[in-house]
Amino acid sequence: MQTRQTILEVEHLSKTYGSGPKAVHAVGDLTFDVRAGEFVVIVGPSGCGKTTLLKCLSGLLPATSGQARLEGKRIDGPPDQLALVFQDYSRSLLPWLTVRKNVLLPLKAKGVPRARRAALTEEALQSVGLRSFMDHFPWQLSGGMQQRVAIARALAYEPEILLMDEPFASVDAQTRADLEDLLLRVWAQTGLTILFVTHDIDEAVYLADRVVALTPSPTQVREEISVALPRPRDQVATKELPDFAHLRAHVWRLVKRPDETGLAEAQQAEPAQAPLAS
Amino acid sequence: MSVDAASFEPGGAASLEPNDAAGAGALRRARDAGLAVGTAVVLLVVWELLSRADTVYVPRADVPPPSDIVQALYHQLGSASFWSAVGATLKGWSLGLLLALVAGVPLGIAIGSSRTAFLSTRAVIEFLRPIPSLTLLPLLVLVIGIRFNLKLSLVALGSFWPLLVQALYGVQDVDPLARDMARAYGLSRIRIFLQIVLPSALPYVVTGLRLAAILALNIAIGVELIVGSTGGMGVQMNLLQLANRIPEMYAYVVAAAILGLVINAAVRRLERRSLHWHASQREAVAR
Amino acid sequence: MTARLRAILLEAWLPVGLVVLWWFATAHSTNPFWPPLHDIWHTVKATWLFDRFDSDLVPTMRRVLIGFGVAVVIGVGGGVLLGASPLLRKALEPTLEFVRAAPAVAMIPISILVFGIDDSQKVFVIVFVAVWAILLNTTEGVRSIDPTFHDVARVYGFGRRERLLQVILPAAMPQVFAGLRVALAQAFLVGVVAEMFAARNGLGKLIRDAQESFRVREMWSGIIVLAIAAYSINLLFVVLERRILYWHRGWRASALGQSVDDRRPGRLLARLLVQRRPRVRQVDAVAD
Repeated sequence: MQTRQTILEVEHLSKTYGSGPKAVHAVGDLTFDVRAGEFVVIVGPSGCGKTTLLKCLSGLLPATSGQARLEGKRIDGPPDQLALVFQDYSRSLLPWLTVRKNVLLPLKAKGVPRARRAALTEEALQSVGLRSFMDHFPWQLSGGMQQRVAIARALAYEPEILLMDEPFASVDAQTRADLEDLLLRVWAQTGLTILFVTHDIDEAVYLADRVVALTPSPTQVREEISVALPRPRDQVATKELPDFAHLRAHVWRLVKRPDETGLAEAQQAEPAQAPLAS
Repeated sequence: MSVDAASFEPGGAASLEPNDAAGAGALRRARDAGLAVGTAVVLLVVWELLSRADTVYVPRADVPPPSDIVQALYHQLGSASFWSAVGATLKGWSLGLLLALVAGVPLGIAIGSSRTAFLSTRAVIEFLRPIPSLTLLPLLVLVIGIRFNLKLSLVALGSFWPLLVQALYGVQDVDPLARDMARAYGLSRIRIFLQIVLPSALPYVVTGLRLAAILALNIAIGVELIVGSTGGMGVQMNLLQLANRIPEMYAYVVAAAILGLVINAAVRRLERRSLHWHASQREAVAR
Repeated sequence: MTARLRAILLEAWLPVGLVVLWWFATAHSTNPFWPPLHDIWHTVKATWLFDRFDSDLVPTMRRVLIGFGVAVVIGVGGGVLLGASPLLRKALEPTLEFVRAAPAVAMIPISILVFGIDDSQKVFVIVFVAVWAILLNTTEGVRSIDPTFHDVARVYGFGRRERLLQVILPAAMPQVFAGLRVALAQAFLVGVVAEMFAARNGLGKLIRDAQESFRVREMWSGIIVLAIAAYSINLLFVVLERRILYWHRGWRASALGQSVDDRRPGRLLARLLVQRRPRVRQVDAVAD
């Protein structure tokens, strides 16, 4: 495989809330990389600090120690080349603006000239299949459609890397499958780098080039698993493959049954705050 | 839809950071109190200096320094006429409020419980409600004359509307899910009313009481100011102004503000209690 | 009988009935305080169209609107500042609470001391009274903006201006309007009462003068015009609010899982008379 340039470097990132005995170590010590054009999925047990991690990576929260670098530059505040798709679409899309204006506004803030703004907006909405709903308000659309608008907004922004915080967690299973495929199509078309966070293990294996499995809080990287399943992925064909089942089982054990995979000894070296999940 | 500052809207900042340990909290509160007091002191000092400077814009005769006002207030607190004035105001306030409560809340509940009644009375309520009761003062002066009943009627009339409307909204805003569930369990209509509707409406009514209480104080003092009806703080304010005893007049205004704060705090306490009870009542019903 | 007609009748029978009752009950009245409604109506037409309209109603309305306008500017401006800065809030809130608790009407004699009895005095009192509701509600509205909106603004690089105009103000708008509504009522109340106390012209003065000179019909006519004015202001405000906060109703309904009523508020009369347009159902379209 050609060696691709590293876009995102995370080095010993940790985040602790509060201090003293009541401190919450959300993120313990995280180190991993993301290369250009990769689709990396972070998966971990509930409450392990995945959202905190994304907030640190997107510059919304300062890390307690360690650092993250985007294209070599340290992430201090939200970088220009980064876009984030939030979990709760009903609160991330501005309800007083139409779909079109929601996608347009970040471009305006970025200083993109008017003609290009309009073009980017149309293309982005077209690629998520919502061009005919441009003048609707987000809340007039269903959940899946709203999340597509959020994706379009991120796409139009033309970021180097796209972070996604459990974006499909709040939609029903069938819509989720559609959205997953939509995302994969868009990713194939644009060559974007995507860092995707989820708690859904099936989704993680289905989407990823590489899965980063996390430990329970305080979070660390448990293991990085390469997903060599053929592309383009298919909801039925890919999930029929024996490799899929193996990978899925492996990740499942890592995440949900850590003691079965020898996590207990590894955790004993650290002052663990959270009980071991079983 | 409540007519209140803290309304029930989506939002509400959820803190990202969990709270610090208890010790740090107490320190923080002390620091905040200090900040607030400090700011108030600074503002008072500025006022004092401006007033003493006796410029054209802030003449001392019209805007006395806080020191004079505090002194005047202190004197008043020792005088019998002050307390009888306060008493007279509170008498009209409390009786009028009581009257409005007794008339407005049951009526509001009744109207809120029946869609027909609600739709029939909606236009009348919407028309009469915005009319400030004090503006009917001249009419009532003619009809009732300058007596205690004048103050009583106007306070009652003014406080009636917020109580009515809040009781109405409270009944209408009952969680339909709770009501359906109660019906499914075969509770009689009366029991549904007593155990689900009323408790659910209670916080609204108490909010109405808070709005009405402050309004009532305003009306009582307003009546006293304008027509000098049977004593009270407003009458004193008027008299003192005519006698050019300005610091004393300001003292009464400050006293009225303190009274307003006390009433507000007392009702808010009641409000919190009722909301707390209401929330626990809702859990009980849900179980 | 169509549902539409029934609905109108249901809402109209009581108000119409009361007016009719009033009309006939006082038709032959000799009571000096309750003259026949018929006479009052004549007086209304005679005095207010358009004689006293200019000399009394307009000044009142003008003062109320100017006072309200100033209160909006101060209240919203101050509210945004306070809402955005916890430090400012902690420093100022107790003081503001205290000043606010002073009864509005008590400000009237004080204001006369400082301003005399011309327009500026009235406007001052109106501003002083109305600003609190706006200030407090705006502060609350800005303070309680969903943090996700702020996150979106930060991630997508919104500048200060964008943040204020495109995120903070719209997000706080529903709460601000709640305050505006209360403030408008208060502004009107205090404006009229201040006129009753001391003024050269205005609705309040007219009513008071009429009462003191026992010109009962004129007094009643003033009261009725007052009621109509209050109602109209309120109505206009509600219509304005519906238009501006159209998105908020839809958003709330959608977030709460209720059915979304996204009919745009058209003109009031048109809405009353014309058949409703069919609602846009929530569509779950397949990707193109």
